Amino acid sequence: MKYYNLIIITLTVFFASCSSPEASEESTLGYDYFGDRLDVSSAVEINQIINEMKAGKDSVYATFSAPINAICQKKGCWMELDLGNGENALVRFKDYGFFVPMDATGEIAMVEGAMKIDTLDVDWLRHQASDAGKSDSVIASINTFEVSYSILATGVALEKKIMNEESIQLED
Amino acid sequence: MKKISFYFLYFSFLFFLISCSEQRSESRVLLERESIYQPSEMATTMRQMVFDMETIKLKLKAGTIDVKDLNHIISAHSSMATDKPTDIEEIQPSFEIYSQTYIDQLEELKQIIEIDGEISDQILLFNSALATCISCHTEHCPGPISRIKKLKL
Repeated sequence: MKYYNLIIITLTVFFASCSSPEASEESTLGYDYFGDRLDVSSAVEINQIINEMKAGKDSVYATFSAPINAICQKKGCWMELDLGNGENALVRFKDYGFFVPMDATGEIAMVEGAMKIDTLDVDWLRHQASDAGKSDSVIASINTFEVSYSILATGVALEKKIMNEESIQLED
Repeated sequence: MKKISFYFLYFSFLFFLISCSEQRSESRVLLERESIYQPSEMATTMRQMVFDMETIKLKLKAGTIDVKDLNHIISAHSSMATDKPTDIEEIQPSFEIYSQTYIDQLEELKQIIEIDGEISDQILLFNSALATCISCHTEHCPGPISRIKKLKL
């Protein structure tokens, strides 16, 4: 019986120490904040916001998260989020007051701001394409406006990233 | 004795398991985000321009504007013509014209203030200078336009 208890203790410690450190650590690593510090715990589902807009609201102010499709490569002064179901949203930052890291494409952004439906004119779309590094021919082919979701963000949070061991060793 | 040795080895093994796990955590370092835009000379000047024009706006509204205020901003904002931008290739030939027009409009505003001209004329010139900023930004960098529009009287 004694040895049975020891085996249980050993297996418990073994599996606890082997549990994915990434998952448990990333959830406590925290966020990098840009603009006004937002409350990440107050985030709502993006579908809830879209449904409110489809129900007739001109603008919805909320905190939500979505993957980043693209970021301005000149300054990080806008980003495009994937809202799911083939919908995207252009995020700009209130009063041009802050920017996001230009290499955060693919990360999940937590955003607080006002969402509305906006008309993006040809000039803006071409400017956006230029900032995103598109070719001259692609930019020139933009000839019509787009109606899409647009967000004026007061704050953005990105999960802190971990430097992997290979990178640490290279630095050393 | 055998029992003591056994428990010593056993707890050493547990300690080893726990310390290996801790070492794995300690070897992870948080990545500093480095790809954040560092403002160019021109961007820094323009941030200051917004602040200065906000001050001018408040003084125009309060009726406390002075020629010294215009001398200060004309001197400070003139550097925009030669400041290093984020991307030199983005600067169009029209930039030189816009920047000079802007300074000329501030000079006109200064002259109106010097002769104690009508507040409405002062406001008109102030707004005209902002309109020049907006026109230039429309061609070069539309991001700050909404911020500039908020400065209008």
